[in-house]
Amino acid sequence: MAGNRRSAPIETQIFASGFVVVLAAILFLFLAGDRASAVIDDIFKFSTNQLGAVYIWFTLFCFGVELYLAFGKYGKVRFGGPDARPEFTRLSWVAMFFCAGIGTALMAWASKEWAYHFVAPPFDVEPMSKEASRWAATYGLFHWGPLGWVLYSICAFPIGYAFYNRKKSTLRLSTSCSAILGEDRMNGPLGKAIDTLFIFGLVGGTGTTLVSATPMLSEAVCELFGLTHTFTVDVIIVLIWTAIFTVTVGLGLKKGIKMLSDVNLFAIFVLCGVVFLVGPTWYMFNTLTDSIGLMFNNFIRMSFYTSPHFTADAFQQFQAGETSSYTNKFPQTWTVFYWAWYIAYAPYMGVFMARISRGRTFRDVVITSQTFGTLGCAMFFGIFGNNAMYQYLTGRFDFLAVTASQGESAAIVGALMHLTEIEPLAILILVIFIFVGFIYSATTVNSSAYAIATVASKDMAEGTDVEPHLFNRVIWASSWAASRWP
Amino acid sequence: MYQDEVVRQSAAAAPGTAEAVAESTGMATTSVLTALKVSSLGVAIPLMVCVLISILSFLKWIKEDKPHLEKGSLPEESD
Repeated sequence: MAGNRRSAPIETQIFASGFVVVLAAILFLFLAGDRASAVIDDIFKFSTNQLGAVYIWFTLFCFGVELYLAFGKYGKVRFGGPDARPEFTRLSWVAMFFCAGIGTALMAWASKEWAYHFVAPPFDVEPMSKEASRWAATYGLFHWGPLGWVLYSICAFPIGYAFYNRKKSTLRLSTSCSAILGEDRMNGPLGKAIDTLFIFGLVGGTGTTLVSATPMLSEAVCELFGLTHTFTVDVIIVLIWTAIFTVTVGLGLKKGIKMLSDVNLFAIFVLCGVVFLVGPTWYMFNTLTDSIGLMFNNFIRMSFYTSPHFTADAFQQFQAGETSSYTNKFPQTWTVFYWAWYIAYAPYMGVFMARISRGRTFRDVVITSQTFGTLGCAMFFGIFGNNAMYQYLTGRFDFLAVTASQGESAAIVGALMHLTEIEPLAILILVIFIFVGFIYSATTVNSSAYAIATVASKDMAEGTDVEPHLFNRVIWASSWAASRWP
Repeated sequence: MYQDEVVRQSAAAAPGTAEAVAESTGMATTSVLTALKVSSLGVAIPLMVCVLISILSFLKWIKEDKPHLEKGSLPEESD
């Protein structure tokens, strides 16, 4: 530990219970196999199909709270008090929260989400029509847009206010609940249960990112070196990841995570800039512009879309077993899924954003996270998604055929490789894509491990140079690598 | 028709289901992270309740601290 940095001791009860619950879940899923998958799917289907509207209302409630914090009378309240000054430069701050939450999942979904909406569009639009392409280019912006960033940032306020302004000694979700549930309860079993739930949700949420990232990166590496995509390649990818994030998480927040996030942000701009200039520049730009207009014009409609209506014919076909559903499940399949995923991530982002936002005002946190988060995601969708759609519509690269025959990862990499006929340039783009993918995943795992370690630490409040114990940080980072083995 | 195949995948395999994740990654459905992903969505409802409580706690705090916040001081400093 360099300089004045001090290690916060491990809160053994939360650390142990979090570890035991995650291990128990992994064992259960291994031993129960397909039965476990079926149970999980049933839980998921119930929570999205029956409770879908609850997620939607909750998201809108959070949106209202953030609007109030940004533009209401508390907008100028500063985390840490009026004299507190930001710990990080604005660029590093933006880089850290943008790289922490979404990771390589953004690269994957920005490239492929349009294809799903194109073939199975919302609002009963005809599949694969011009109207479908319009919604295909737009819905990704909505799912990764303002409401998504509301859920990502909302927990930063209770957790950060409790820690910096109310001077609580820990950055935990349980601590931030203490005004309603009581201090004693939050220091007891109920508080530990909340923090264990947080750890479990975060391990799964980060797993979601890695599930999207690994095959895509493996495919890109195989394309670059002319290899066949095998399990061995996946293992090598995970080993490289493990090395990167174990070293950087060990270096701590200011050296490791900040440095990696800065590099990542720079690499993202280089990648997006090159793809934008080499690809169908004006199509991407025009389509993104059109999609932003369509999204804002339909923002309320999309925000409340639950698709409950059906016809008598559709219901009879469903009862006869001819179809699996009598309503269009688009909102449950996509929007509610995304909101649920973000909610599982919300406490983590809250802990992490609170930790890096000392000295920032409520207004600054809301406006900056909304603006840069939404714009950053829109940039990815506008460039990678619109490029893939352009290549499909012009017949240069059949994204849908490759998805059906070789999988999404091959389609994503294929769309990149067909950007230009100049082979060295295509290879250069692939190299940058792989680099960004590695760094992006590493920053996500780093930040997640740091957040869990922070929750599983005590006495964090003695200064901003206090870090969770090295063992605490590294063990969580390594656990994702270990769990990546099928 | 490959379009039919993609439509089938899209309709039958919602992005949150284990099958969809397995299809998208080319991995078996028993992959630990795949299952963990979907399990995390299973805890989304209780986590949503916790997040709601924390937001309500926060709103209660800033209401209690209103005089201090208007003066631009920390609650502890003024107590």
